Amino acid sequence: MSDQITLLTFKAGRVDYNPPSKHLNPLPQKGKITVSRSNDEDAPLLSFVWEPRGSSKNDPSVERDELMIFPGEAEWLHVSQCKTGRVYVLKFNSSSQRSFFWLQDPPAGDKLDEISEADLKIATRINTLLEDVFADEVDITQDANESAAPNGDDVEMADSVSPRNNTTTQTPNLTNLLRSIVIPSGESGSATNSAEIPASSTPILNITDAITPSQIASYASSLDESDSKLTNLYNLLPSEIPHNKYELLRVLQSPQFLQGLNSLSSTLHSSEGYNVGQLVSQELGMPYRGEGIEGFLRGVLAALDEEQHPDASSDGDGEMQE
Amino acid sequence: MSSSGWNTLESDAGVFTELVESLGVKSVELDELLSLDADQLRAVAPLYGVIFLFKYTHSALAPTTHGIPQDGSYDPDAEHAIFFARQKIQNACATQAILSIVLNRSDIQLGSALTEFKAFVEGFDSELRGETLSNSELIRLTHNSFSRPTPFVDETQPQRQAGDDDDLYHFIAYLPVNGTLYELDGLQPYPISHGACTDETFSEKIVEVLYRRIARYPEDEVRFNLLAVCHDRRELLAAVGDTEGLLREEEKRAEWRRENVLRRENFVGLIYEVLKGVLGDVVVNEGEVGFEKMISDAKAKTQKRIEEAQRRKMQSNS
Repeated sequence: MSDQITLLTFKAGRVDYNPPSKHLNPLPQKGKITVSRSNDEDAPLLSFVWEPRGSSKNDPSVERDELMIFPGEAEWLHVSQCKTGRVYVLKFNSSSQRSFFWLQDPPAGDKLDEISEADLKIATRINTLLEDVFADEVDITQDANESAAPNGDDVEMADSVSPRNNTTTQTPNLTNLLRSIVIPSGESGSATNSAEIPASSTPILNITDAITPSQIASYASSLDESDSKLTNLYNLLPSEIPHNKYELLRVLQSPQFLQGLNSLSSTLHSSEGYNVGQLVSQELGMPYRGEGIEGFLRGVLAALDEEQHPDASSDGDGEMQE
Repeated sequence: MSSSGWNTLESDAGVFTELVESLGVKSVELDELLSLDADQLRAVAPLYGVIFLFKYTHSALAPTTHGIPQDGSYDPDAEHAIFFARQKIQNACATQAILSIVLNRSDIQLGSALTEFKAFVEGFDSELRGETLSNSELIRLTHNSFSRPTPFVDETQPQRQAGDDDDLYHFIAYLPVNGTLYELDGLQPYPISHGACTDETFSEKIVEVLYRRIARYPEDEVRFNLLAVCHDRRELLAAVGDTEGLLREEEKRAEWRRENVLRRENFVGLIYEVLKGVLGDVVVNEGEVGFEKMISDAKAKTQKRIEEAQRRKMQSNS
């Protein structure tokens, strides 16, 4: 293991999955998961190891498990159907292989299934690493050292839970916004508005190539409860979703939100010839800074700048209401 | 344009369950089965039928040689005895497969709209039934209410990048009807019979049939999924007084509703605001240089993804 770089460790137990009954049976042993990669820059493999810790180390029937994962091969998903603990599944895209685990760090509140911010951080971190082993070098290793954790710290879990598997296939959906967009016939961007369109050989094909979903989640989780920006985000949630940080983070980490990012990306990118970027910026009340995802992101930056320095605004084509 | 089109639907048990309910069908739900196993199927009794769906490639979608199905036998006479419709529109196939099950089960309460539809198409041949289904305003609008229309992409995006989102699924219904196990696949000319079968033997028989089907595909060619069309679990659990199980099912339903709410969202406003926030942090911490670095890193990442996809494609072709 000396040539492995540890990226993340946290306390978790294994969960036996029994397909015929669809039941998950959490195993009582204490354990930890260590995510690491090789020192070798040419080996983009992620090592995912479960091993017993504490008293469970002495149990000869408990074996260490190691999985080697290729980039993009697997996802770490919350099994929200489980209400008696916080269960996650490592789900492989290429096969039906699934490994279930229950988190053994104490829960955030009284509810057994309440996901803590630490859990969400672990989840975003794992998913980032599953995408790209070299994502970044920051180590958010939790204290999985048994001596530091008194026994009472570990959570217990009820016997059996019934999960529903979370497989969703992601079909791109287009936004309502686009319903209102009409292709301008032969109209070119007005001279005053069209900023320099950055020339580039390789366009950005997805917003998430620039800003990852985990960056978005950690931004939202970093906001203070009293921050008006957070209230602003709550107000943009669907009306059926409760206005709190936990629900906001769940939305931001949902496959549906990711689809939203994908479909906006594909619209901005694939419709470049139709000045769709200009229409999107008009719709959002944001300065226009060119087509494509790069132009869109430059527009977002310009909008931010205008908000922070309202007097310096010279574009006049966009005003963002707080 | 979009006013007459059928959108692609996410193949998800929560979507399909709400869809059949919206069509007026009573006490039916769909559940994803995690494995192909007779015990698992028996566990969801009463089971009305199953839907087999797979992400297809061209070779996977050519299941017939001329005149004979690869498994089972064509049953042209069944065309009028049961509801079978030829598939006219690719995106309607999920809804069509579900209808192939509910319209053929006399023990399912259809509601007035589907009862009417069934009576209307009764004398039609499978071609005309397919046309009628495709043209049904009610069914199409209900189907489309689970996703947003894609008028823009349809016109401007004839050539999509192969890879990430290219999910083309085909849905096939299997169910026991009139003492026979039928495979109802709208791309086939007739219903396909897999021999004598009752409700009692269905769990057993369908597993054999599906194993044979899966065995025909190269291992990494298709991804498949299995949905059980069964009776509303909550009613069964309530009947036996299983409050804990009932609670679990109610939570499952609540989660389905939540996901369906999110599916109807475009999130453009939310995306805009969170991106502004993230970019704000980037600029505060690293200045404009940080933003430019982010842009160039993103291009590199896109480039890498494209190369990765091409490499995988070449591997799978070889």
